[in-house]
Amino acid sequence: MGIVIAVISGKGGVGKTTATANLGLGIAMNGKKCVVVDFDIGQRNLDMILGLENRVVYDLVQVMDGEASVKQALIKSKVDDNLSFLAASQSKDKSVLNSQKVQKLVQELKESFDYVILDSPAGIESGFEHTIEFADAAIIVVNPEVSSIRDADRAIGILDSKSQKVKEGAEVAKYLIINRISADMVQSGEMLRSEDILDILNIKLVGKIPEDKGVIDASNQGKPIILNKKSIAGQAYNRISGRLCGKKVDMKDVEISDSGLFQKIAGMFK
Amino acid sequence: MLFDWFNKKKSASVARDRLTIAIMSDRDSTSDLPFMDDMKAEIVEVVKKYVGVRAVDIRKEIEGDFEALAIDVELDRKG
Repeated sequence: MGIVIAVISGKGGVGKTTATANLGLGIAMNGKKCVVVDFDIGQRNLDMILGLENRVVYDLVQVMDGEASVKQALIKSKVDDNLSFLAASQSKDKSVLNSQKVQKLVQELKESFDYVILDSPAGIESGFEHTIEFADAAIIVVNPEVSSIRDADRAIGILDSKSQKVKEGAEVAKYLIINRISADMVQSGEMLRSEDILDILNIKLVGKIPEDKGVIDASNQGKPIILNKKSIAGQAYNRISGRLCGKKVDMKDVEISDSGLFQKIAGMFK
Repeated sequence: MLFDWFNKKKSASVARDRLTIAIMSDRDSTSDLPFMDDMKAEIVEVVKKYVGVRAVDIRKEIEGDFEALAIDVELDRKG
């Protein structure tokens, strides 16, 4: 039986869908069977990031309504056989989801995959609640920036009260990803340090992603950045994927830029 | 001039302080505790077994690192 992970953020535009795509692919590259599901009904995006938009035939809502089987709707990634994808519906809106339908789908996916990753819509409304309802764990994506962190805290609050696991008296595991860290800005005191963010949100860190221009280039092409071995963001996603698969991967301090470090060392010999 | 520059608080630490306060007050609101009504009803039921109850009030209180639920049970004298 697989594990269900909801990727949430509260605020939109922080890189939630990019994270979902890269972690899904990263987990698949670790040899685990993984399915990523776009729960952002009406605002389908994960297909673009994965480069699978032309292969979508059936979507999530059609599966839930019994118009297509899960098997018919799943799209296999060409990059890695272990990765499958289920698209959001573009024509409907979020109100079409209901708990029973979501539970049935999640259950079915859990039976055939090691990891079921659900890309949540932004906000904290019903679409979000349905995404977290049957999750075993949640990955919270934030930017080191006040509005993102505050909204994430609200989302975590709802996760802690609405998830099925919490209602049953268990705990839903929560992991934080801090995305778009600019080492230079952290060093100059213009960007929140990850220790401060962890302190404020009071949850565990699973990884830090440095700011990387390559991310936009990657989504332009529909090739997740994790495939680019030279990219610092890609490497960060690779480390996080390893951790999610139970590997022990040291936390790299992306808050110190390599150039900054070099300058410091060079300075010692002046 | 130079003195001012050194004294200027870095914006990251301003962000940290503002966020800490904003989030504390967000969490403080009872809307974050959707189970509140159910919990109130259950507390009334338990206390009722022994003594009359008129009202129960539950508040979330945060002081420094500590969070507490303050529960006031108003007894019904006649009970």
